Amino acid sequence: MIGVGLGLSILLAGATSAHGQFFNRGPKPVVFEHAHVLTMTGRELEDAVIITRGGVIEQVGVGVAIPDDARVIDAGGMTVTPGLIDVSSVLGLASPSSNSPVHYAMDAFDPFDMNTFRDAVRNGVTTVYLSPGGGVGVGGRGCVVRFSPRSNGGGAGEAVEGGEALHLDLGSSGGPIGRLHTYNSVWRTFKDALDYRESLETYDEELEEYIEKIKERAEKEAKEEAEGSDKKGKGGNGGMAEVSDDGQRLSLPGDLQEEPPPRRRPRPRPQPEGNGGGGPPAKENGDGDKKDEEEIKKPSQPRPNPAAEVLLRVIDHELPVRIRADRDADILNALQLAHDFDIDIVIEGAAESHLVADALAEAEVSVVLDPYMERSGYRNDVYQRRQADLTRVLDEAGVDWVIGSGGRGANQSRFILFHAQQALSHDTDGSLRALEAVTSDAAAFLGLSDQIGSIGWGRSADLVLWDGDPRSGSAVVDSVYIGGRQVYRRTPVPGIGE
Amino acid sequence: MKMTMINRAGVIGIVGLAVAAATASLVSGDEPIVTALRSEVLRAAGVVVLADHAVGPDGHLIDDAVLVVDARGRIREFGSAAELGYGEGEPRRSGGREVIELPDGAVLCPGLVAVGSELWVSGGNYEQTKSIDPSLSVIEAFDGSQSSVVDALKAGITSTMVIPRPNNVVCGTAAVLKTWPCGPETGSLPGDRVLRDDGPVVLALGPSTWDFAGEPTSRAGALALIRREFDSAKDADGDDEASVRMRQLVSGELDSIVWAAEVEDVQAVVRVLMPRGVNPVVFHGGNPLECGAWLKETGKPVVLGPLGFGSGPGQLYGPAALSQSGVEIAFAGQMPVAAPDSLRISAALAARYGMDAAAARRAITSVPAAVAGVSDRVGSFAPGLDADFVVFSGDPISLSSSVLEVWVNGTRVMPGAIE
Repeated sequence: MIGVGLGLSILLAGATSAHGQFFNRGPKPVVFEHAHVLTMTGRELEDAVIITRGGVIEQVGVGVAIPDDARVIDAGGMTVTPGLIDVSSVLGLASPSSNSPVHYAMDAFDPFDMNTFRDAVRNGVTTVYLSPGGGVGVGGRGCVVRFSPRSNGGGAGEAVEGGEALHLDLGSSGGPIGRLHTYNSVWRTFKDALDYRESLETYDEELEEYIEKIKERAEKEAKEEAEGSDKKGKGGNGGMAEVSDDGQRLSLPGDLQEEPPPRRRPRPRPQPEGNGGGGPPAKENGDGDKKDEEEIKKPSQPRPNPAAEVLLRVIDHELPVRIRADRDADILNALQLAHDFDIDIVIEGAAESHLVADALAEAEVSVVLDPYMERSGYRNDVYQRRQADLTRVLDEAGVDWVIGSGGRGANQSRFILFHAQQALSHDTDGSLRALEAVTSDAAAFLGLSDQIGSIGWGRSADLVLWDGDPRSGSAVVDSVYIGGRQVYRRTPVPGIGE
Repeated sequence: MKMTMINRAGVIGIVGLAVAAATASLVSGDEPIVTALRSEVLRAAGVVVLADHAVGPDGHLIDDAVLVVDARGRIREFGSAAELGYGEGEPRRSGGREVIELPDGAVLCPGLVAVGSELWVSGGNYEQTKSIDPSLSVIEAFDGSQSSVVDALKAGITSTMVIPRPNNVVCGTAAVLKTWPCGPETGSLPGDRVLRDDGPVVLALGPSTWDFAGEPTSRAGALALIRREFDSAKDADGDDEASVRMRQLVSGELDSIVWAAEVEDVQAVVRVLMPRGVNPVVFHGGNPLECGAWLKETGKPVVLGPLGFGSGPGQLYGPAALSQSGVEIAFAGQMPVAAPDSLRISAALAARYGMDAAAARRAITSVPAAVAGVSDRVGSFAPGLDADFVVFSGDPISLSSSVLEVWVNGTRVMPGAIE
């Protein structure tokens, strides 16, 4: 990642900074003229101008004055859209597989996976949400990666702040017993996280109590010492021996019954360990030959649990959860989990979400649909009840949805627009909505509307120039700009080597 | 019509009686009464379809198109509304036919043709004891009960060339059928579905033809077998069906296709088959960029794909590259192994990777019809051809478009007879 270099961080900073002029790395504005602009904010402009500076869009409009020092790119009437976004991708992850919330997708990201980058960029994709993938149960955390231009024309990318989410998989493709087991263990993991928090709180209380007692004793000892100086030599040595003896006996539980009654009434002992903490046994009696009257045990600190801490971020609404659930029953389980632990979830996959659309709408849970793609052996599909017009049912029920490539392979992100078009083919307005689904809707879903997904002031200059209308079937990407820099230019179709 | 679906057996019984009766006396004109039983009323006089756009014979979209279907379910005329006198303000020459105006933006497209499917075939689809047998006819294994055929129809596929599985050097003979029967339902027999029961002879090269036990066991062995058998076939005087068809094949009397899986196999078509008088249409699922010149050398259309969302760059650019060099492309629709949508997805992906849109539309209509040898029946809009067409909500090669209606022989079967 270090190798990606300084240039990228500057670009990213430029993208995230609201004011491009603060980042006048190349102070010259880059201007696109004669553009047919689909802003994806509901506007369609003919012969428009887009002014960008420092990788950020400053102005979009018709008849806008072009700065004198600008580098002007003639779009020649081509259609310009924002860069496309895949909200569920494994691009740049060699073999995604994580089974712990501690795992972070960006750590496995290969910025030199040029082939898949090129293929994605060639199809207008400039940002992906990187899904950590993995098996069933609690998985790792994903992040948003915005591609960054490299001098050699390839991909690479950097994580965008604010797009992180934890992944769970309820194992919909498995059998009923396995799915029950999975749900149970996921539920248990969240409960354990809560228990962990409780043990931390208990520890804090006990520690306070312990400190209080130490103080008390110190004061008492000081007082006794002051008194003792008056009555010196009374039973001093004998008492110390007894205590030492007691200490040894207490460590042998079998001897407890034979133990003579203690001279002094013991005070309640602090719990040796917090709930589920499993910390190392405390060593309090090392200096047992002191002249203390009783044991004051230091509470043991619960062992740090980074996985549980991630889950606690979820419980504290700091981190959303993506739950992969395809079957109706698993989706309902996911909603139950969200209810039980009061967490913010979205459903991924959601093949059978039309069966539980009302429940999703009521819980205000949105879904990330997998592509409704051609399937080999499609007759044997696990989810026989999946239907082609799923998005219509979700629209009617009022469930928000976006579409991602579903982590079905690094090279699937490239066809994200096709996947959206297919998902909306029943919709008379589907060709525009498909484009929205993979630009403005996707950015809003990721919480990054102020940075990507549309063409407007302050947005990153991630622009795709199409040789036709991308709403039609046959438009081809002519060139792609990320942060105002060209990262792809269409090359002629290779010859057949006659 | 609906009854057929609800209680097929019962209706077959009725149809059976009707056939008996019809053959005796109840034949009116050239339309048997049993066909009328299956038709909607509008079929009696034909139908005029007005569409915002239609796929013309060269694959380009024609605006404000008219398709006139006669009473027998054939195309009477096709063209732009202005040319045919259906323009705005002009009195409609419906001639008593029902006039149907398609929804705004809808595209009228010839019924899609999928070459290379294994629909309907049951009971094994290749012979395991003989490597060369052109007399093996795929239509003998027809099983009319398969529901995947309805999936094909819903995807807009109205005709398909069914092939034996390409596991032998000479696998047998293909058949070309409609996905919806033209005439009376004949239960387990292909009946009026058949466009061609003596379809192209199907050959194959490549690993799928190599056997563990019998000949050939290798690429070289397969080619040696072809040289020996094809050279001797010319002068062989056997009068059994296999010998006769082999003789016809090597003398160029039969059309043929060849499954050439790898680059070497495509080269073998040019180097070994063509000098022996066999000039097949090549089906190639691999990377056409690697063997484009050889594919072009065949002088025939080339069948590629099916392409999918996982296809590599070579496969994706291949159709555009070949098409630009003047080769006509058809896409394979390997149902039921591949989903029926694969056909249209192939065209959509190829277009996105630079294939001319018109060529991409031809690649799922007229070119596969030509490959199957049924251009005189289906695959484009021309007078005299069967009125098999699909109404798409938009451009057929855009995945934003969906199938709104499917018509076969001038009769709407979807929505209607199915769903």
